[in-house]
Amino acid sequence: MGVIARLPVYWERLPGGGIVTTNMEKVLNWSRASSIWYMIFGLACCAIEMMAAGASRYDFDRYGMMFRATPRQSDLMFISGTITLKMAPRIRRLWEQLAEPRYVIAMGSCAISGGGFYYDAYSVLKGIDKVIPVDVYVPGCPPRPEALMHGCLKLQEKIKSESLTEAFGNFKEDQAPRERLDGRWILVK
Amino acid sequence: MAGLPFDQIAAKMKDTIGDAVVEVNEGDRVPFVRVEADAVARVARFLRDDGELAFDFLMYITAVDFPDEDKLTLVYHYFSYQNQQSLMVKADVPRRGGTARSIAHIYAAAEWLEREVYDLFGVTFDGHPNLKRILTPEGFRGHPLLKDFKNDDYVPFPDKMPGK
Repeated sequence: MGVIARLPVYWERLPGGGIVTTNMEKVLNWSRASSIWYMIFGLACCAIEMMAAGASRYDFDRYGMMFRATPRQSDLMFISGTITLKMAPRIRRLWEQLAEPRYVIAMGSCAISGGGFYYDAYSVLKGIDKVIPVDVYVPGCPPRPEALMHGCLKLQEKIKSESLTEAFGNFKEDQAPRERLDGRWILVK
Repeated sequence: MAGLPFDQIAAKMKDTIGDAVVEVNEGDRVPFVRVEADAVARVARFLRDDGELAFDFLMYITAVDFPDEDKLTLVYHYFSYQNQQSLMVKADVPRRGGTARSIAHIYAAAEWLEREVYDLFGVTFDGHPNLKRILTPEGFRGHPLLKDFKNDDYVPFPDKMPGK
């Protein structure tokens, strides 16, 4: 019954009927997980590793991952580096422009917690999850491309385990830690 | 195509805009000319427009905080493409509420550089077209490169990391 309760929203969109709903879900999730397009967006030294992971030696394209130059065509956002308090609201806005369902990978110590080097700074946000929800955390300073690719595989697992209503129905914006944005830092809104 | 040596530059500045020159220091590692804060615009115009000196490029403006002497020292780096040489000019302003003349109308590059000095040190520049913060977030309080800057939102680094 649980499966059927989640069906109606997307019943009409399923091509060729939808009797075997679970399988359709699997097929759609397989296609979503196999073509994660990520946004060109780098913040600091982690971005260099991200570029290396995207270039031919490591090659994200083997996972069907391509970069897109606009958030509106992207599924995934790497938070690759130190987030300054000035940048945080801009990142929030970019994240809001990503097409649903959208995913975030926090890459490196700075994006996870503010970092070992910059934690004491007056200008650094202590972790991107204070501003937007994060799906996968990849530790390291910076993480090697292999680690980042492992994080992407974890994200694929997550996408494949989602139900369609989870992916399309619950807008994560509602779950986002918006209240923490209220403060004197946030003026872009 | 070497330019004038520093002592001749300093002598020329003394001859033409001598009332603005406070001190000529050749002893330091980088020789510099110290001028009045009110006169930095006049000095900049002279350095740029003089055909022999031709300091046509403003490399940098920064400041140094001296809390013990209760002063801030503005530091201007000029460069001459024609002569391939640089010149350092300094000017002292009070630590709180310090003011200098803007040179944004002489060197366009100075617009952002002066905004940066204003942002980080709190020096205001008379005649600047758009003097507002450039690096710190909107609504930021204080000037972080002053040595007595206190961060209201300081979060101390955790003694123990999670899991230890």
